Amino acid sequence: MKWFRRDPIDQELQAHFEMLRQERLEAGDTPEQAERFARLRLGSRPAAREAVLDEGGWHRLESLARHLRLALRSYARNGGAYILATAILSLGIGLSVALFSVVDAVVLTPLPVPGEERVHLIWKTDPAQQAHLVGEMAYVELGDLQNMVPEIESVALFPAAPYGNGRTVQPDTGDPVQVESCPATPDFFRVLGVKPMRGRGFDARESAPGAAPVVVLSDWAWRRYFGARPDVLNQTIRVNGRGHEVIGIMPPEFDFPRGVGLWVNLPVSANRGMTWLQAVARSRPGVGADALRNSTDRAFRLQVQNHSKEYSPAQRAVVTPIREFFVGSSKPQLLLSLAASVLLLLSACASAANLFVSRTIARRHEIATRAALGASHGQILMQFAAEAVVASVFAVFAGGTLAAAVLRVLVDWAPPDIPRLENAALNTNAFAVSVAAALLSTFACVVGPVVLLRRQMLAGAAGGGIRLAGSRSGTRLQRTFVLLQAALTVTVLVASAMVFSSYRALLATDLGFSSRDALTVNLALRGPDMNPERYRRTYLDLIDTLRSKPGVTHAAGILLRPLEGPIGWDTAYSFEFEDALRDPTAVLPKANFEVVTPGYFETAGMALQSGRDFTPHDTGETEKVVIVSRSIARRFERAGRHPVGERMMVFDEVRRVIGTVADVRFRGVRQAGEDVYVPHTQVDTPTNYLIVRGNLPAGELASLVRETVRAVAPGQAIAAEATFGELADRNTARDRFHLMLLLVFAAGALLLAIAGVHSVTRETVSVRAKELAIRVAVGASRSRLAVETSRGILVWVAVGACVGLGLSLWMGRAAASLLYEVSHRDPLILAGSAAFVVAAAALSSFGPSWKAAGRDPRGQLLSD
Amino acid sequence: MARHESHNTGLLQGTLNMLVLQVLSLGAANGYEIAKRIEGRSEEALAVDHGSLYPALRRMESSGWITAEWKTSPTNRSARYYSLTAAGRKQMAVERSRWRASSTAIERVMGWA
Repeated sequence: MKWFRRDPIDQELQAHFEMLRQERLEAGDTPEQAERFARLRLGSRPAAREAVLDEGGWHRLESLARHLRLALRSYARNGGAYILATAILSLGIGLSVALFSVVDAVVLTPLPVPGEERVHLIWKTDPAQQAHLVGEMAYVELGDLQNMVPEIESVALFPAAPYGNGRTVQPDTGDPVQVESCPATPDFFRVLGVKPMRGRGFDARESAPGAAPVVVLSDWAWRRYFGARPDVLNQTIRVNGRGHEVIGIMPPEFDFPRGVGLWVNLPVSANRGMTWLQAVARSRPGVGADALRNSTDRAFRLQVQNHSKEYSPAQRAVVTPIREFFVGSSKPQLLLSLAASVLLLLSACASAANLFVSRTIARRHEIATRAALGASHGQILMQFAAEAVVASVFAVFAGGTLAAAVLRVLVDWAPPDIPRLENAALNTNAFAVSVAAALLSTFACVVGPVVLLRRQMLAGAAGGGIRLAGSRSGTRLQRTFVLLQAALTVTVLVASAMVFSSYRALLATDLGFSSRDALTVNLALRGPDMNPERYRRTYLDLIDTLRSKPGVTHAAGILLRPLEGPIGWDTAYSFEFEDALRDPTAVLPKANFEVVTPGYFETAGMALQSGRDFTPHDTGETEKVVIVSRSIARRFERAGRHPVGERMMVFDEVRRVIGTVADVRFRGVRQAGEDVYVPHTQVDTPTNYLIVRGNLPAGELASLVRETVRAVAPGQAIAAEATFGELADRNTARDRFHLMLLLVFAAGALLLAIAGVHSVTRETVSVRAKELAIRVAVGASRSRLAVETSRGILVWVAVGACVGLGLSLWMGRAAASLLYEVSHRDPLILAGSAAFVVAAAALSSFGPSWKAAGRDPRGQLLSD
Repeated sequence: MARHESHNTGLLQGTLNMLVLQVLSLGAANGYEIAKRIEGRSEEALAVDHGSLYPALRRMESSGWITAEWKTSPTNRSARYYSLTAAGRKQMAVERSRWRASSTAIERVMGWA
C-alpha cells in the first residue's frame, strides 16, 4: 500500500517503546527486564495500530485499501456467483457503451460548422398534396428568401437531391473519373461558416452567365486525383470536358453534402418552374428555428400572392436544423437502440443484483458476526462498497473489451446511409460513460441489497441464528427482478423474431428482375458539345459494341437503375378512355417514369407479358409509345379493356400502349409500385445507366465496359458499378443492420435472463438446503422435489413473460412501419418467444434444483 | 474484530480526552511523556495501557484540538510532539464543565455531596 500516505503510528509506538525501555535501564534493570516491562506497559502494539488506523482523516484511505483486499478475498471465496454477476454486468455495460459510442459519433458530435445552431435547411411542403410531397425551390427564390425573410443573415441554394450532379473530372493521371459534385450559389460556404483550407470560396461575380467556370475541391478529391499538389490551386482542371479554375480546397472534415468531391457555381436561372433546389440559411443571432419558420412561411405565402400560377396556395416552409438534416432518418432508430441497450443494462443490473442479493442473504451469518463484534453499519457498508468497486473495475475492463468487439461488428455491418458511423470509437466519452455505468450499476447491485436487507440481517443475528428460508423482503426483491427480466427478454426476443421474419420476407421477395448478376454502371455523358441526339447515338454505339464482345449477352440503357431508394421521376398518368368521364379536379395516380433503350427488359430479366418491346423503329418521328407494368395493365383489365393498343397520357403526352411487363420493385425491395417505360428516342431525358449481362464475373464485365467507354466515348467516365444483386443487398442493408443489432440484444437478454433464473434457484436451494435434506431423508422423490423447488421461480418468469407480451404489443404498434409482411401481432412469434423464455428459464432452474434434491441428506443434516 | 475491545482503557472516553488536554495545556509532550504525566499526577492510580493513548490522540488530532510535529526528545530520540490548539483549549473547558457536572451528579447520588 505504498501509494497511500502512511500513518506514523509505527514509528511513534517504536519510540514510545524505546523510551519506556530506557527508563527501566536507567533505573538499573537488566535489558531483558527492561524490555519485558516496556512491552507490558505499552500493551498490544498491533491492537493500538489497528485502532489508530480505524480513526478518521487520511487513515480512511488505508482502511479502504484494506477493504479492497478483503473484497478481493471475498471474490475468491464467493467465487462463481460474484464472477457470474460481474460478467453479467459487463455484458450490459459492453452493449450500452457500444451503442452509446455509435450515437455519440452519429448524432451527438457537432458538425464542423461554427454556430451550428443557427444553420437550418429550408424547403417546402404541400399538405394539400398526397403524402406531403417535399417541394423544392427554383434559383429565383434565393432573392425571395434574401428580401422577404429579415431573420436570415445569409442563405444559399443547392440541389435537393444528391442524385445526378456527378461531374466528369480528368485527374492528373489515368482515365477521367465521375465525381459527385454540388452546384451551389455563391454564399454556400459563408452560410456554413467554413473557409477553404487553401484558396478561397465563391465570388458572386463568378456565378454570372458567361463568367469563367471555377471549382472548389474537397480534401479527398484533391488528394486522390491531384496527388495533394499545392500548386493545383489557381490551375485549370477539366470538369465535364471544360476548363475550370481551382479556386479553393476545403478542409478534410468538411463533408457537406455528404460524399461530395467538388463544389461548382449553380447556373443562374430565372425560371420559377425549375424547382430542384433547397436552401441552407444562417439566421441572425438570437433567432430560433420557430421564428425562422414563421417568417419563411410568411414569405412563401407572399410568393403565392405574387405568382399565383407557379405556387400551390397550401405550400408551407419546412425548417430543419442542419445536424438533423445531416444525421437524417438514422437518428430515431439509433436512439431507440440506445434505449434498448440501456434497458438491457437495467436487466443486467437486475440479474447481477439478484446474485448479490442471494449472496448477501447467504452471508447474513458473516454480517451478523461482524456486527456483533462491533463493526458499525458504516463499516459493513464500506466492506460491500469495496466489493462494488472491485466489481466495477472488472466490469469496466470486460465491458470495454466487449464494447470494442460489438462496435467493430456494428461499423462493419453498417448501412452506408448512416453518416459518420465509421468514426464511432471507444473515446473518452465512452470511457466516462462506461465507468459511470459500472459504478452506478455495481453500487446499486451490491450496496443496495445490503441497505435494504440490513434490518432483517441484524434482526436475524439478534434472534440468535440463521433462519432456514431466505428473508421475505429479499425474496420479494428477487422475484421482482426475475419478473422484470422475463418481461424484457420476451420483448427483445419478440422484436428480433419479428425483424428476422421481416428480413426473411424481404430476401424472399420476388423483385421481378431474374438476373441478379446483371451489372449496372452509371454513365452520364457530359461535355460542352453534348446534345440529346448525340447522347442517344453514343449510348446506342456503346450498347452495340458491348453486345458484340465475347462473354456479353445483353446490354441496354436506362434513366435510373432500379433499387436506388426513394428517388426518381414520378409522373401522373390517365387513360384516354376515362378522360371524358373523369372529374378534372381528381388526383391522378402516379407511376415511376423510366426512359429505356430497346432490349432493357431482356437485359434486366423482366418478362414481357403481352405486346412487344421497343425497337429501333420507335423514333421521334413515329407514334409516341409506352410500355406499362402489370399493375397498370390490371387497371385497364378492370375496365374490361386490353391494355395493348389503348392510349394514355404520360408526362403531358398521349402515348399508345404497345406492351406490358412484369411488376418490379423499382425503388426498393419494400416498395411495390407502378412503372411506365418510354423509349429514349422519344424524350430528351437521357439514359444515365448502362446495364450489361453476360457469362463473365462482374469485375471482368466492369473492365470490359470501361474499355468500351474509353474506345467509343473518350473523355467520359463510368461510376458506381453494382450488380442487381448488390443493389438489392444495399437496399436491405438497414434492415440487416437492425436485425443484427436486435440479435445481439436478444442474445444478451436471453443470457441475462437464464443467468438470473439460474442464480436465484441456486441460492434458493442453498438457503433451503436443510429443509430439502429433511424432505429427502423422509423419502420425498427427487423429481418432485426438483419440480417443487423450481416452480416457485417459474411462476414469476411466466408472469414476466405475459407482461413482456403486453409490452411487445404496445411497442409493436409504434414500430409496425419497420416491419415487412409481418404483423406486430403475429401469434406464432408472440407465443413462441414467451414459451422459449419460459422453457429456457425452466431448464436453467431445473439444473440446480435437481442437483440439490439428489444430494445425500446426511451431510447436510450433520453439518450443524 | 477483537481490536475494538482493546482500546477500552478502563477510563471513560471523555475522561481520557480531558486528562490528555490537561497535560498538554502545560506544554507540548510526546506520547510517552503524556502517559507518564497522567500516571505521575494521579500517583499511578490511573494506569493506562500506553498504546491505547494513540487512538485518542488521533481522534483529538482529527478534531483539530491538538497538532503534532516531529521533534527531538531530551534523550536525543526522534518523537512526535503534541501540542494544544485554540480549539483544544476551548474543548478543555467544555470537558471540564461536563466532568464537573457528571461528577457532582454522581456524588449526589452516592450521598457524598
